Amino acid sequence: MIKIQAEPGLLGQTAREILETMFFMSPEDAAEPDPAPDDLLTAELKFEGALSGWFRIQLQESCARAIAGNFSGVMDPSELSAESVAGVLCELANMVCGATLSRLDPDAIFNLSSPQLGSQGCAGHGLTQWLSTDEGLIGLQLRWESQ
Amino acid sequence: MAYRVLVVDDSSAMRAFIRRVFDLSGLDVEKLYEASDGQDALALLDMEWVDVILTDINMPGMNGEEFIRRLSESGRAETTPIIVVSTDATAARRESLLQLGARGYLSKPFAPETLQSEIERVLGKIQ
Repeated sequence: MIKIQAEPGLLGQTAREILETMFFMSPEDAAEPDPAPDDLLTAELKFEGALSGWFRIQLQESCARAIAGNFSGVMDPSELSAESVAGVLCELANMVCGATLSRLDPDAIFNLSSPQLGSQGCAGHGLTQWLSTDEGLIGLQLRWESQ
Repeated sequence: MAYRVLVVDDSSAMRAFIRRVFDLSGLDVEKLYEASDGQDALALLDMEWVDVILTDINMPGMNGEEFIRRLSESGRAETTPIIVVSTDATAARRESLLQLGARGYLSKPFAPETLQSEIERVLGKIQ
């Protein structure tokens, strides 16, 4: 079992790097919204290995569509189907979770499940970060079981 | 020379992103095949030859590790370079898959030009 010493900003830093490099967006850190927006799209995945838990990403619909447009090279994101947007959202979840875990412990091996739309998560220790873009908010949660 | 490429990834969004990188790269791609897991990829390779294979690791069905193992056992990994494209950037995973037969390893996130240069490297265009 690894000893987790996660810097509070790790999740947001990793997500920002991914969004800038592969989704061509430059988000900034944001406070957790209260109340949460009611148009959030959610994707989750589980991971196991040196550490077991789950990861959740939530995006406002307009933000999810803009990100999907950038990733797909579509000039008008409104042309994208809901299925295409969901596929990109799941891929973003996979990238952020995998890259964050790799940075938590570069010497460990993790196995990630396929991301699914919707919320099935459970409680645990972990990291939470919200990001802000011109198109809307992004929420990130990484939770792992007690060591 | 025009290249034939196989992209193995369960994410259709990621396969489309890689296809777009190829379209924009200037690399001469004659044919880009897609497969959603290792089993689909092996079936395709029974019928087609390719110059380079890009594969994810975590996939339902046959995962990337087993796929590379099969290619190594058949000797195909020696003649067809394999590049792993994964979010998993851990040293243990990278070392494990390179020992298994992968020729390159690209961690997400990556800039489009990084993918292009890695493909050129394994194909011998860049020493």
